[in-house]
Amino acid sequence: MNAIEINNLTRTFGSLVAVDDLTLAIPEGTVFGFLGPNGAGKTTTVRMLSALIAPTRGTATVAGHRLGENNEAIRQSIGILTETPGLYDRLSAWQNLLFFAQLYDLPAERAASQVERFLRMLDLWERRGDRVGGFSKGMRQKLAIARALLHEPKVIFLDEPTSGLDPEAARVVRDFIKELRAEGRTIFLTTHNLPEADELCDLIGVFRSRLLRLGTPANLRTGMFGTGTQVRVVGDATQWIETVRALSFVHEANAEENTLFVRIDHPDDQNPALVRTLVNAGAQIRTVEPISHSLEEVYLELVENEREVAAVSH
Amino acid sequence: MHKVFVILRKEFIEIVQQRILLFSILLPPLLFAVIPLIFLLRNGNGSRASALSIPSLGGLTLHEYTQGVLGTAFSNLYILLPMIVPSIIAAYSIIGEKNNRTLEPVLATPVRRWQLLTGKILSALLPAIIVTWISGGLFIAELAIVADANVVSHVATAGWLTLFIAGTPLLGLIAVAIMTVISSRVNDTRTAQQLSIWAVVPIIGLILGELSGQFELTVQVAVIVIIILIPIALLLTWSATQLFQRETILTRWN
Repeated sequence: MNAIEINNLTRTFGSLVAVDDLTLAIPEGTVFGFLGPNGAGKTTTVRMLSALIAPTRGTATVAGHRLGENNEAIRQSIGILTETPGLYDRLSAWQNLLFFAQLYDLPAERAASQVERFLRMLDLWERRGDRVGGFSKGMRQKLAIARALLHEPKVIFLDEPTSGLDPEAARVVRDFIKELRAEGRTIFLTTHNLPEADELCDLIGVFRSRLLRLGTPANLRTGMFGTGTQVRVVGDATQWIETVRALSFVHEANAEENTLFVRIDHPDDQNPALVRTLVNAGAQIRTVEPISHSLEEVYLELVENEREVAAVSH
Repeated sequence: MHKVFVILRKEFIEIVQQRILLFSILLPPLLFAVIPLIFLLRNGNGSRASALSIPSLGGLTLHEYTQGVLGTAFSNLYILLPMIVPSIIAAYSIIGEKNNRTLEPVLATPVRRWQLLTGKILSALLPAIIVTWISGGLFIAELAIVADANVVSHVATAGWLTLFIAGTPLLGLIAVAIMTVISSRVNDTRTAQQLSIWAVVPIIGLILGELSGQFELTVQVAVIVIIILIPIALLLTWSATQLFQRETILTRWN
């Protein structure tokens, strides 16, 4: 079952199209990475899905509730970490969380126990009585994450959850996100941290006003650059290019110093034949590895292509 | 209603934590209570006051009349007080939330718009009403103790008491609504307060009108003023409600 279903969602501000015809389905228990440059319309999308602003066109169902029909139920079913933590500086950590627990209709006893649970979980229990204004950026971020989870929402929107955190705190948050996924919660993660998206996300959407690409991190990589194998040999690799190109399953082969880059569709099946051919031809092989592209390369390629398309169309 | 109290309690905790805000709320009523006391105690010569002709002070001796002029002048300032105090609180409450970006997480909860707005309005209105009524009560007590026996009944007239008791919530509501409208357009509390100052001009006109003998603040006049204030308060509150929508706050508030 899908936790979020979006159909042709569009939002305009005057002549500006912030979100253009977004269609997307996110299964329950998925960590979905929503990637895109600043000003791409990510925040607008999250605000629409959180029933904070209305779409100009299109529909969406969040946690089983249709947008515009039962917005209060949507708000009750989701947790949201906004771009800035948005905490009350003059209130203590305890008071901040208790205030939100009450707004989420938690009964008094449960509100207190949930506040305690999350403060302990995120290592803030000892500072519960301190004013939030004196907290570090990392502590504030953790508190804001706790606030989003107090009512155990089914769907959680996290906007740059590890932004500004030191590596240790960022690790705590990432592990926490994995725990949430293990509990079956759906996470809509907006981030610029691509290695983080690669580590956490089951599904990624690259977005710039419209959805440029959707897939698992692995699919995005192969979809963009194809699959391939790099073979490091003794000596100059260029001498083996023609040998490799002669193989029927090889789409493309290039060489750089002592490494051959061979584009093939099924490395697991085709690598033995590739290696055998090279060895028979006299090549001395040092290593055989898959050609790997980072998510960052995929992202930059997609966004750059989109910029070029947009420039041409203007 | 539960969430209104949750919001109200949060607002009160925040007010109490802000010393400058607390000082700004308590200073005007304190001054309004102390200054007339000083003047009444120093009063002895009524020659200057006799130049004024205030209908409600008819039949008083010159000494009583001087005290009555002072009393009437200050009593009318208590009609201003419910406009000053909530403006200060509302400016901090709404603009503070805007600047600290604390509204979006609140708007993302299942709280209803009317609950949030009611909590915000009451947090500014209740202290204003309480402070006004307490300091006004103190003023009447001062007058009863310090001034001559006849003066109190000529200052705290039925007309004044009607406006003081029934008009205070309406004037406070008007001030909060105006401040909400202004707060949606400006980003600092000082600008908001400076703009809201203009809202008290009609009340100052009312005070000067009475002091200059243009009219007497009878019960009928007070009722007419209240009848005029009710639609103004409702209209302004409705305008504030329109601006206090999730979408408007997130996309149009500067």
